[in-house]
This record gives sequence, C-alpha cells and structure tokens, in this order.
Amino acid sequence: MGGRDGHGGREALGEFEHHVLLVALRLGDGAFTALIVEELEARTGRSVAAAAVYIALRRLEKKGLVTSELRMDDSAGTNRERRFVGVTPAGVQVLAAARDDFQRLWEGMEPALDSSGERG
Amino acid sequence: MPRGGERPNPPALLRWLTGKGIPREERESVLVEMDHLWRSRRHRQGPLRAWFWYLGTALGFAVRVRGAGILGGAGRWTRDAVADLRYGARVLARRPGYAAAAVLTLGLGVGGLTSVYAAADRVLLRPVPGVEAPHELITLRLGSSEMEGAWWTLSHADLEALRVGVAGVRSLDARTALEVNVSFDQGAGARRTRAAVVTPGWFETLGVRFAAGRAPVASPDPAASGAGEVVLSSELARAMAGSVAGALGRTVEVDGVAHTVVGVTGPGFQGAELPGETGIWLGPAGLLALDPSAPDGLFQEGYQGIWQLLVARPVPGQTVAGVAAAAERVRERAVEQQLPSAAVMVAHFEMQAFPGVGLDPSLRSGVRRTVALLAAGAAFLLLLAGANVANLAITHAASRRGATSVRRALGAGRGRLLRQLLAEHLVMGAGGALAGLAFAWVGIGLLRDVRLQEYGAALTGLALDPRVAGVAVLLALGTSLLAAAGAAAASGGGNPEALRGARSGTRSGHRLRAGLAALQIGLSAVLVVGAGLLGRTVANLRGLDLGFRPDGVLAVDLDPSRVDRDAGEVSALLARLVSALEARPEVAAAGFASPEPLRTSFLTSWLGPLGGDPDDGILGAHLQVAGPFLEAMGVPLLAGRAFGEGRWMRSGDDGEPEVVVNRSAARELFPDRTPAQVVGEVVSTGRGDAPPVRIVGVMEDLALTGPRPDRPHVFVRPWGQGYADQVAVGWVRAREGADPAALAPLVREVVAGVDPTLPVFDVRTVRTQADRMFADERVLAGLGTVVSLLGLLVAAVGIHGVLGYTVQERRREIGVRAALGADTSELLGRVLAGGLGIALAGMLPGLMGAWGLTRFLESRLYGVAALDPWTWGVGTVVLVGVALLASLLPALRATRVPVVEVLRAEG
Repeated sequence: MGGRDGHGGREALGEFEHHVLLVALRLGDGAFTALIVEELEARTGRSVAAAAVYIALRRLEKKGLVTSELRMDDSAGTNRERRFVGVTPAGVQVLAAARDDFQRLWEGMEPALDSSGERG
Repeated sequence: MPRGGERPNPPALLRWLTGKGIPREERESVLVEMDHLWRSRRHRQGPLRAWFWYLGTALGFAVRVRGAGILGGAGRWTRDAVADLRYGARVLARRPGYAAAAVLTLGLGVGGLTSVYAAADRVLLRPVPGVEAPHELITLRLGSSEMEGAWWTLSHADLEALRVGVAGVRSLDARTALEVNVSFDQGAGARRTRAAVVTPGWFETLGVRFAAGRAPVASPDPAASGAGEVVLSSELARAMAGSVAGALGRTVEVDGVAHTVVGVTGPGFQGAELPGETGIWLGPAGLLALDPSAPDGLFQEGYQGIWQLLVARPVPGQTVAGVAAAAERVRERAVEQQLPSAAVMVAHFEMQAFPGVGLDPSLRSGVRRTVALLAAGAAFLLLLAGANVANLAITHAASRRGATSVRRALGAGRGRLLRQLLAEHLVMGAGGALAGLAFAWVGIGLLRDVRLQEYGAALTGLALDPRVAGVAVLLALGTSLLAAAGAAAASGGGNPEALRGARSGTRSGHRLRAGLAALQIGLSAVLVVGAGLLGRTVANLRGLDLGFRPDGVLAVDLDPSRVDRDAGEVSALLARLVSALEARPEVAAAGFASPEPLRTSFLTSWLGPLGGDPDDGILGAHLQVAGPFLEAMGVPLLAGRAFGEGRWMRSGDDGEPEVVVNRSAARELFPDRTPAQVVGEVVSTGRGDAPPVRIVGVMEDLALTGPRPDRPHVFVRPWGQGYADQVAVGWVRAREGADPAALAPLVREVVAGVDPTLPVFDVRTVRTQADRMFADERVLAGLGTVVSLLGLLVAAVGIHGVLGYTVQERRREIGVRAALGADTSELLGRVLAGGLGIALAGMLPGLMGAWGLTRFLESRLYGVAALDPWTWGVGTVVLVGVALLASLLPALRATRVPVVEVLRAEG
C-alpha cells in the first residue's frame, strides 16, 4: 500500500484530500460528509462523488489530520447518529504549510497567467 | 401529500440494498449522509434524477469503502474477489464459442434497450437544460374540448386576466415562438434561428441564469417592454461573436431591425421546450418592431391572439389541476360578462394545464406511446438474450457437474463455489456490457436521424453519454447475474452425491433447458407477429392516397417579409419568383403557401353561414397561396376554379374575397349539395367587420396531418387576402419523371436572380416530408423487424443447443436403436419431432401472448386488422420453419452416430 509517509516529515497530501481538509476547516465544528460534498460542489462548480469525500475523511483521520465523532444529529429531526469531523491542529499545520509552498511556487508567476490567453 | 414537517426519504429498497453493500460498522453513518444528499438533489433536480444519483453513489460507496480497506479484513475480500474474477475469465477463455455466443446475445439485447433508453431519456426524462426545477412548472394554453391537441393563441388581455384570476402561482409568463434572420454588422453572415418573444418575467419564472447581462427591461406598457433589446443564448453568442463577452452590448439585426444584446443566458438554456433550439429572445415590443403590419392596439385589443404558451411557477401545494380549474374559471367569467377575450371566441375552447415544461403537451402521449412500444420491443430482445445466456450457462454448468462436485468434496465451501459462478457471470456481464455499448453506439446512430411524431430535431443530439452507458452496464450485469442464479439453481449447488450421476444430465435440467428454448420461441412469436403487422401498416401508409401528389415536388422555405417591404411588395416579389421558376423547362408548376401545409397543428380560421348561428360554422386549416400552388401540390379540383392568372394577388380591396374549400368542408357547410352546387355560395368569416367570402372552388380532402382517419377542413385563400405567416413555403413540381431533389440548385439560382438578399432555407422533397408524417410507424416497423429477426436467430441457437446436447447425451441410446435396425429417417424424425415439440410448446403461449399484446398496437395499425389472418399465418409458418431448420443439424448428427464405436465403449 502506498501513502506511507517515508521521510518522517510532513504528511503528503493529495489534491483532493487537500480540498476536503480545507472545506472541513471552513465549515468548522458542524462539518459532516454531505455538507462537505455540497460545499465542494458549490465552490468548484464540479460534481463530487460522496464516497470519495467519505473515504478521504477516513484517510485523513488515519493520518491524524481530522478527528471524527459519532453524535446525535438533532438538526435532521430524525435523531440519527452522524459522524461529525473536525480538523486537528496537525491538520491545520499541514494546510498552512501547503499554502506556504504554493505561495512560494507562485512568486512572480502572474505575467505567465496573463499571456496564456483569455479565460472563460 | 403533507408538506412542510415531513421529510422525504430515499426509496426503502434502494436504501436497504445500499446498506447491504457497506460494511456494518460504517453503514449507518454512510446512509445518513446519502439521505441528506439525496434530499437536496431531489429538491434541485427532481425525483428521477435523484434516484439515478442514489443508485450510482451507492455503487460507488460499496466499491470504494471496501476497496479503501477502511475496515480490517477488507483486503482479503478484495484479494478473493480478484482471484474469483480471474478464475471466471479463465473458465470463459477455455470455452470461447460458449462465451462468444453469450456475450453477443447479451450485447444485442443490452444495446437495443440502451438505445431506446437514450431516446426516452432525451425526450421524456431529461429535465429542460438551464431551467430551474422544470418539473415544478406548469404549462398553460388555450385548447379545445373537442379537438385533441389543437391550441390557439391568447391575447395580452387574457394573460393579464389570468395573472389576476389564477391564485397559487408565484408568477405567470408568456411566450410566442417565431423564426428570424439574425446578423451582426449589417447583414453579413446572416443566420436563421428560432426566436421567442417573451414577457420580461419569463427568465425569472423559469429560473434561468444569465452568463452575462440581464433580461429585457419591463415596462408597464407592453408595447415598450424590452424595446430594442434582445437576449442571446450562450450557444448563439459563441457561434456568432466567438464568446459571450464578445456579444454583450453589440448591435444585432433581427430580420433587418437593429437591437442591442443586453443579456446572454447561461450555457445549455435554449428555451423552455424540448428540443431547445431558441437562440434569441425579444421583449413584447419585439412583436411590433418585427411586424410592420401589426395593429396598433396589439396589446390592448382583447381579441388579438398573441401568446402561444403560458408558464406558471406555482407556490408549493398548488397542483396542475388546480391551475387548470382556476384558469378555466377566468375564461368562463369572460364568457359570462362578454369581455373582449381571444379565449371566448369559440364555444369548445377550454384552458388546459400540463405538468412541467419541455415536450409539447400535444405530442406527449403520442411520443410516450411510441417510446413505450420501442422499449417493449427491446425489452423482449433482452429477455430473449437472458433466456439464451441462462440456457448456455445451464448447459455449461451441467457439463461441469463432475468438476464441481470433485471440488466440493475436496472442501471448497458452497459459498465459494457460488461466488466463483457469480464472478464468471460478472466477467460475462462485463463482456456483454462492452458488446452492448458497441451495439448501443450503432443503435443510437440510427435513432439520431429519426423524428418521433414530427418531433422536429428531437433526437439529433442523442449521444452515448456516461449515464446511458451506465444503464447499459447495469442491464448487462443484471441479466448476466440473473442467468447465473438460474444456472446455480439448475446445478444444485454441486452436491457431492451428483458425482455418481455426473455423466448423465438430469431430467429436470433437460426440462429447464427445453423450457427456456420454448420461451425463446414464444417471445419470438410475439415479435414476429408485431413486426409483421407494423410492416404491413407501413406499406399501406406509403401507398395511401393523401389527396395530393407528394412525389416529384421540392419544397423550400423563404422569408420575404422585411420591414421596408409592404404586403403589396411581398406579393410582387412572389409573383416574380413564380414566373421566373415557371419559365424554366425543368419546372412543371410552382407556387407558394403560408403557413407550412404539412404539419400537425394549424393556423385555423372559421367559416359559417351568412347571418347564421356561430355554432353552425366550422373551423378549418387556413392556407394562403401565391401562384398556382394547388397545381404544384397536385390537388384535384372537384368543381369551380383556383386562383390562377394572378387572381391570388388581388387583395380584398380590389375584388370580392374568395376561398377554395375542400370536400368535407363543403359538405359540412351545405350538407345536401354537390361540390358544383356549392361553388358561388357566399359564407361569413365570422371576424366582425370582415366581408364575407365567395366559395370559388371545391377541392379534394387532403391528409395534411398524416395518416389519420379525420382529415381537416381546409380553407385556401389568395395570398393578398388575409393573414400570412412570415415564411412562404415554395412547392416546385418537377417535370414528370424528373428527380425533384435535382431542382435544388436551380431554385437557389432563380431566387438569387430575383433577390440576392433572400435566403433559401430548409430545402427538402415533399415525399420525405410526407414520409415523416408516419415516422413513428416506420421506426417501430424497422425496429420490430430487426428485433424479431434477432429473436428468431437467438431462439434457433437455443433450440439447436438443446437438441445438440440431447443428441450428445443419448449417443448410446441412438447407437442401440441404430443397431436394432432403426433407419435414418426414423432417427431424423425423432430429433426433428423433439425440436418441433419445443417450438409448439413455446408457440402456443407465445401466440396467445401476441394476441393479448396486439391491443397495444391497434392504434398504430393502418389498413390491417390486429388479427389479420395472413400475418398470423405467415408468422406461424416462419416460426415452425426456423424451429425445423435449427433441429436439422443435430438430427443429421444423430444419424451419423458411429454404432460400433458407441457400443464398444459401452461394452
């Protein structure tokens, strides 16, 4: 199985996991799979497979970047248990580091964007 | 249904199935998320799409959650599954003949049903693109309680009255459709597109998003609403200006009138109808701008019909029936109070409401029936394929009984064996799905050119998209697994006791296989009879006397109306065109008509006795003609004359208004007279101050709406008298025996010679157009023939397989019989009788089933009875013949059983 973190440093984060983690952070305490799916679809304009989000969350949990907790969900009015997720401090750290990486990578790149033609 | 507090849940069965696919410890937390997403999808896209979504997502969960190895032990499950699938593939690879037959039949059945599903999805299931929650909308129009499918336009006063009088709708907006020439930059690169004049709230009612800009500006005076403004579709904006941004703010000429592009709709939206082909929208002011002859009081005059279709966005809880009833009350009030209203002009008018937008309400039931019949045919083929796969699987399983039992005896679990059987059929199903996709690709290509119920370009965009492909895969896997279940039951799960009798097939297994072969023959019987009846119907329809001669005529559309051209100038232009066309030696006759003569809905007008009761009058299709159009059509005149020698150009002012009516209209108006006695009579047109018209001729009845028993009344008026559509339809009759299609370049050349700015569009032969009137019947007959031939082939393979296996099983018995002196003909007869027995066992219930099913076909038949003895006789003979042919090979094999060898092996 891949995905094992070889160098003892930061967890490697796939693009999709990155998105899911970021949205979970945005939604805060009340985040759960369906909400994250809808938020991802709304923000990216693409359709997102619910199963992929569910699994990404469980994988992130294994990596210690999110925690999950089974709680009664009163808002549904049906008194069903639902798995709520929250981003751990380690998760926030990984996100911050990823953002720094991106910022460094993007430094001075704006002209390259402008020359690549119009964007719809 | 109670609303508000109650929260809808996904169908219980779907949920239960989904739960089964997910490990127990994850089940509840997955289901709660699925419910949540399903509800929001159902709200946005309607229940059907939500169902599909749920199915797909459930599958995704089952596969991914297990594959991801979230829970311990899942890795083993995956490894086992992979091993089983490989084993299945190996088993099939060892028997390529068996695998190929199964995969091919499966593919044919799946491909057929998938193609039909794609068509149904396109016309019936798919929501109108770009419209928010289209299933919640309600379509309203003015129809008739006596003429099914007919509709009339409502006046602006009617729209206002309905807005006030119909409660429970958030908004009510109206549309009227037309076609226009549009161009940027003063006429360069003009293109023809469908257009709609709409009330400014139209876009909001439909929930249309704008890619850029806004809707036309509303004004209290409809004549000023959206003046000089147009909205383009994203598609048209891109095609004309290269991009959405490039179109916004530009000046566009619509039929030569300058407008400004104030908005571009979001991608996908091309009108509220299906197929959406609208490229440009104008406000109500556009009606006045584009039609210089429009009366000043267009929006004030209560009788002036404008709006073809209304769409309402109801508040939650309001029903279609509720809206229909409320709208009808508004109409009745107008009748009682004698209000000026277009909706009160005919006694049998009524307000009609339909759920949703999209497919034209008049076509819905017809299209549904056709699609249902197509689906039934394809489902039969899949059923046949399923029976065939099961039969092959049982034969296969029976031949492996020994191997299976050995493995069980060695300790392989019953579950494991079952799983391997399933895996084998999953592999087969996957092969069938691939073959099915290939056949569906072909089938969809064929259906793409088809027009259902004159349903325009309905199927033009038909494609093998992921959803349709998903259906194909599900069908293939489902059928294959069902066959596996049958095979598992027949092989008895591989009991070790079966080892002893391993070499002789069981009696019950044989019966099952023979039964399946009989089922195939039975299904084929239904298909053969259905295809036969439809085939005869199509032959009858083609030979039908339409009242005019469709062969040898080319039809073209022209739009001579321009703002700077008055009615007299249009007539003069048409006169020049007619004489220029008739001057050519290749042309026998040419004329123009308006509106399009061959279509399902008409511009209707009223004729009645002078000073008589309005209820004694009749409604008929109104046709305006220029030049010797009736001659070009080939309509026989029964009495009187038409409008030759330029009579068609005279307006009502410089001569008495004239009309040519058809036979049925003459009989209805003057019941006891011959056509010749009707000529010269004067009748009223019922339009208030309009002068009465003189009947100058009586012509034959015309099948303008296609092969229906009731031919419409037709009133033909000279071009100069009355209201013409913008488009003039030219019919050009070629000299006897010449190909009309070859006239196309000549017509273009002549038109360009008369006026180079006049675009010629939609060139077609009238024969093609006439054939299109019974396109449904042709499609059904074509598909029926293909399906029944395939069915027969599959059934023949089935019978051949069963008998071949029997002969193989009974080699010893046959050998003994031959040794005891049975001659070749006796052995041959025995096997053939076996085949015939299977065929008869299937045919009896099959033909009975066909007899029961023909009532669904009855409305589609023409000139042939549902129980036509010829069709049934020939069908029976064909079935028996196929069964005998299929038995012949095994029978011959039986006669060649080497007696000595068989007996020695026994010894």
